[in-house]
Order: sequence, then structure tokens, then C-alpha cells
Amino acid sequence: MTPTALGDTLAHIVRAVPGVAFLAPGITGRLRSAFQDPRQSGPPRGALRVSRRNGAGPWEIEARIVTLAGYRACDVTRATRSAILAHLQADGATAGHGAAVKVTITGIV
Amino acid sequence: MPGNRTPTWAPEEDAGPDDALLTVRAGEGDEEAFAVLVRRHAPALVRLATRLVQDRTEAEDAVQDAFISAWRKLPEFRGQSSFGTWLYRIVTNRCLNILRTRKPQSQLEAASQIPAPEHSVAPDRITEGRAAIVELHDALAGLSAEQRTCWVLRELDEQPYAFIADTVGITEQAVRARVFRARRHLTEALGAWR
Amino acid sequence: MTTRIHPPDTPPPHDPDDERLPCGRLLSQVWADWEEGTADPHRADCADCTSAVAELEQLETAVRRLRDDTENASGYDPAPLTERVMNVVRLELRPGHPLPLGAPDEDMWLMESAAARVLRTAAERVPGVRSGSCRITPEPDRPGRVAISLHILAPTTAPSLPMLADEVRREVGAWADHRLGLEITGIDVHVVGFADEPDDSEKGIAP
Repeated sequence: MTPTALGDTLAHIVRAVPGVAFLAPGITGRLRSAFQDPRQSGPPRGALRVSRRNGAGPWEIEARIVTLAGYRACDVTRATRSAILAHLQADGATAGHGAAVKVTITGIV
Repeated sequence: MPGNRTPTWAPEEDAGPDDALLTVRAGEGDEEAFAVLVRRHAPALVRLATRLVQDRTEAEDAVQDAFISAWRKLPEFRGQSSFGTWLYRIVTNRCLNILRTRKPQSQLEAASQIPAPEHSVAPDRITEGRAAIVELHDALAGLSAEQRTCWVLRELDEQPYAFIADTVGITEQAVRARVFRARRHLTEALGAWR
Repeated sequence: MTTRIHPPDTPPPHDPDDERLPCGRLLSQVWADWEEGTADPHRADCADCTSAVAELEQLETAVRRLRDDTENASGYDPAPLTERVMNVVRLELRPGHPLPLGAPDEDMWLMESAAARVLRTAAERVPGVRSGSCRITPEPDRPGRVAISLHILAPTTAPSLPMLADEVRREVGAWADHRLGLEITGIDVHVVGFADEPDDSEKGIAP
């Protein structure tokens, strides 16, 4: 499984976590909104970084999220973390490699 | 507050915390607090800049750049003056630079940029008033960037001399001299001088 | 502080644009007196001064028209300009420190500026309190914990500032726990001034 494909899958999973408003826009997303280029109107690719040391080590996932004010921030990060870990363990392509997951809230709306 | 005139750029009363609190919050990275400040101060600053450079698009660009530079400098801003005064100074000096680098404008061009009247008065008074404004407008093109800036702040924005001196960074005496020279030039250009 | 600074009685360093009127007065002085409303008995009887003032008054009439023409700031819609400014600002955010959430091995973080907005709002739940600076710093010796330093304006009606500070601490502590989940070591509340309007707490930035 490529990091890009895994990133897209995890982005869907993270967005569905209760209390997550959206993935914090990465620099390209923010540039896009600044210059409003209509050609790039696909689903927003947020700040979800997937990498793997030497292509074979444990998965390293970093999610930057904006949460909803009605939810406790710590609970949302924990649920996000659990959802990511659960997917990695359940999916045949990623299970058994171990994973390091970092979740950061950049804003609360 | 020096001077007996109330600054006309004071923000309108609107909901939300006062400028000092919003400025502190924005300095600590609260961009929404900064957005409130921008919305609150933009109208008066655009008016100031339009009066200075006499072009709405250039004026808006100057104000936009001033706000962005303010955002960058905010962490070092220690409230030496109010946010409004600080921005007033940044915008004035940006406009002064625009005027300095501007090629001498032909009088015809300058006259064509006068906004249309927005209020209705008797037709002969419109003609008379229009004519005076067009003449004055043309005459303004003959002022140096420095004279024009001091004159606009004094006569159109009705600021006290001490405030203008602070804003432009020169002595009050120098502001008075520039405004005097501007008036001298304008009365002569209006054909009023002997 | 004086509002009128009179030019010196002796002529200032020679200004080539200035002019001595036939009556002996300097034009700059005559205009300055007119502008400042300074009384000069000479002026009323002097034809030279009167005509110099008349010329300035004529200019001022045209100036008033130009001023009225460019007055219209209240009709200006600041939304598009604000949007353009904020689009650039959002590329240059200053989110502050990452603050730890949960246990250290969970690797979960909350950016300081987002937390500060919530805690400022919490402080403003105490009637009349307005909040300014709010710094939240990770405790170097106690991993996973943070200290809060908050500046507030107190309502002028507050009977006791220590009690007010306690109330603010309670609200901030409660929200830090219930809404954020931060582990707090302490909350310093500094009363840095008084709020003008005692009962204005509704206007705080909404969470």
C-alpha cells in the first residue's frame, strides 16, 4: 500500500471521527483558498502525513485537525488516534508493522 | 490628546471587545481577533488612502499591505499607540511612498478621477461646486508628495498638527510649513492670488 | 498640554514661499492666526490682511466640498478587503507552542493559540471580565502539564479583586479540563486594568 493511498483512506476515517470539523489545511490547501484556483476543486487533501522509514519500518502518521467547540479536545484527539490505529491493525496491508501516530489540534471552531 | 479636533478616523461603535484587547489577542496569534480589527478599521483607512493617492484601487492595495505588515509586526507591538493610530501611520507612509514614486500626472488625468457627486443640490450649485473641486484637484497635482500628504491629513482628514507630525515623523513646525506652502500653491493655482 | 503652538513672534527662518504683506505682517502668520482663531485687532482694519484671509477662505470652501465628496467611509463594505488580508494572514499563522494532551506516549497536542481562545472565553464567563493576554506554557519539569498566565480587565463594580481572580481561575480551570483536557499546574490571573462596561461579557469572542 502506498503512503498516498493510505493517506487518502485515513483522511476519510479521521474526518468521520465525532468532533473533528476538518483536517487542518496543508500549505497547498491554504494557498488554494488564497488564490481560489477553480481548477483545483477536488476533495480537500488536508494535513495528514504518512511516511515509513526506509519504506519498511513502522508507519508514521501525523494528523493535524480542527475540532468542534462542543467536544472535549483531548477526547477528540484520542478518538482520532484510536481510529487511525484500528484501521492500520485491521487492514491486511498495514497490520503487523507497528505504527506511531501523532495528532495535533490546530484550531477549534 | 493634542489638538482640539476629534480624529475622524475613530472606528465606529460595533460589537466586540475594544481594540486594545483585540490587539493583544492578535499579537498572540488569534487571527480571528485580527480579522475583527481589519473589518473595523478598513473603511476609515481606505478613505484616508483614497484621499492621499486619489485612486481607489491603489488605496485599497496600500491598506491591504499595511494590514499584512501589521500582522507580521504584531508580536513586537507593545501598544505604544493604539492599533488605529499605528495603522494610520503605516497607511500614510505607504501612500507617501506611492506619491513619491509616482510619475508626474497630467492634469487631464487627475481631473478625470474625481468621483461623481453623491448628493443632490441645485444644478447651478453643482456646476459651481464641481468646477471648484476640479480646479482644486488639478492644483493638488502640483504639490510635492510631502506637502500633499501633510495637507490631506490637515484639511481632508482634519487632524491636529501634532498628530500629523507624529504620523509623518517630522516636527510640528515642519508640518505647519508644508501645509502653509501647500495652501500658498493652491490659492495661487485657484487664481485667487491677486 | 497646550493645543495651540504659536509660531514665534520673530519671523521663522526665512521661508522663500512666505511673503511679507504691504502692512508688514507675514502671510504665514496671518493665515495661522485665522486658522487658530487668534484675535488680532490689526486684522479687522487692514485691507491687506482681510484680502489674504479672504483668499484662504475661498480655498477652504473648495476644500470643504472635496472633503464632503470623499467623506463616505460608512458606506464602504470592508468584507472583500478583509477576506484578501485574511487569506494572506492564514498563510502566516502564529499558533504558539504545542501543548500536550493525554499521556505522553499518546503523542497528542493542542496548539496554544486555539487553547488560548477557549480559555479567554472561559474567563469572560465571569460577569464584567474581559480577557487579554493568555499564555499557556508546557511545564519543563512536569511532562504533560501546562501553566496558564491570563491578563484580565476587571469590572469596576467588583467588590474584591482576589475573589474575582478566584472566580476567573475556577472558570478557566473548569474549561481547561472539560473542554480541552489540559492538565494544569497553576493559573496566574493578573488584573491589568478595569473594563469600561461592567456588564459586557456577552460580547466576548464566541467559542
